[in-house]
Amino acid sequence: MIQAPSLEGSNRLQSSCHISFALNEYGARTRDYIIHYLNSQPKSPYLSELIADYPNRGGKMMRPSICLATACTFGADLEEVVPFAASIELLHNALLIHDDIQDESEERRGLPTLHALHGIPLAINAGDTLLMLALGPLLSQQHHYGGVVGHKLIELTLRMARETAEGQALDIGWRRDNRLDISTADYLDMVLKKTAWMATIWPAQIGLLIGSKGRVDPTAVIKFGFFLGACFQIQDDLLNLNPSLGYGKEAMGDLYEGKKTLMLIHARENSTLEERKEIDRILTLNRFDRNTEEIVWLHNQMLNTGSIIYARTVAEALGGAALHECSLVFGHLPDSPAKRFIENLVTWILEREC
Amino acid sequence: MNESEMRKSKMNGSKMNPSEVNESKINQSWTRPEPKRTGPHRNGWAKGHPAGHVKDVASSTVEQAVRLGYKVIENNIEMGKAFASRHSSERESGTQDDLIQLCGKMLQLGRDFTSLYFDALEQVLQEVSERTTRKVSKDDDSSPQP
Repeated sequence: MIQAPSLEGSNRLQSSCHISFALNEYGARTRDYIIHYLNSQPKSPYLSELIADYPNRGGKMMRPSICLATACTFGADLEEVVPFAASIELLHNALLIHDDIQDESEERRGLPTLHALHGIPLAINAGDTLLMLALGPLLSQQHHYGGVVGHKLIELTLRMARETAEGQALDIGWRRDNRLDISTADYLDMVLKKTAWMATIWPAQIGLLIGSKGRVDPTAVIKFGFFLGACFQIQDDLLNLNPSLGYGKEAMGDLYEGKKTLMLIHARENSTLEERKEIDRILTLNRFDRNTEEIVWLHNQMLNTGSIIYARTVAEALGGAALHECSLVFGHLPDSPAKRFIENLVTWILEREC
Repeated sequence: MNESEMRKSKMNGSKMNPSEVNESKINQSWTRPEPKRTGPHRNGWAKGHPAGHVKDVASSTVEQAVRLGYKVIENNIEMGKAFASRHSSERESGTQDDLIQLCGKMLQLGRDFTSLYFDALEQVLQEVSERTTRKVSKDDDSSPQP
């Protein structure tokens, strides 16, 4: 069991230290498993090096940590959950490879994206391989839990895969068609599918299923996972506009891509007719045709319309809803470092700078 | 001394002594103005109050965001339930088949273990019987002939 520093009252600094400590510990266990697992695969030219690239670049390890902490809160031993956490992180990395190609991103975790380094065809192939390899640890462990739990694990994974694909399709489709009629409800629906299912709901469900040995219904964490994931995504979008040192993606990359963020939707709804026309004109351009002045203008427009404050308020509101749902799911369980990690996640998400 | 007398005396340049001034002040007719309110503001955060207006906007954003969030997720959960109920009705017979199969496997294992037990017991009895027979015939060979 992880020995985290004890928390006194609601001291924010201690809470932040606790989260960082726990993320490091959970992340280290998951990373060790992943490295061992990938090294055990047969070596192939133009493939082995590529599939190991993103997992070796580090990352916050929030997704596997949610799985580990949820399982441990429900009484699981950490070591038995690590393979599932590894599956989650491997799947996440596989999707990142494809995401970066779809978004034409140039930077990931402070380095060039995989397709920038090796070309799109090889990167797609590496992403496909990593997707399939990600299921290995999950499938190898399910026989320990019996047929019902094992079947449920696959069901949850299939549901997550479908929702994530639908969300990604919405995000890409809106950009391709330059949809200007996207509302806040549409945005939250897209975030639920594209981000929350994979990043927070599915990891929590896996952790819950393993930790309770199938006794607790995994649907119990859906609302908590959604609000946490939505809070996370909005904060991620805000960081993209005003990145700090250590932010690993291209600053204002979302504006260059024309990504429909909450800030952009709000800014457009709250601009004058002339300003809205200018926003629409910039959004109809291709990514590489948008110049720096236009991007800066868009950013300033968001500031002027109060869209950044609005998005921050919404993120905090959804974070509050996440805390409420968290108390419903985890409130009755005994106190533990793992439980405190989950309870402090909202604060960490809202205060993180990268 | 009333007010007009005071003014006259000032105009005349005459100085009043302090006691006369105080007395004049006391003698002035003065009524307390009607208070603008009769009780404390208990709704300081209501619309119209500067700080209340800012808080009102923020709280309505929060309320809208949370309400919308719940609407989106509950819609998704309903769709998931509908899908699951369609899917589980196809699988229901499958679950029962699994149970029957499991019971069948357990019965077979039981039969196998039982038969293994009897085979082992038979082997042991045979072994004992053979040893006994060998011992008897050895004793017969070694015992002296009458």
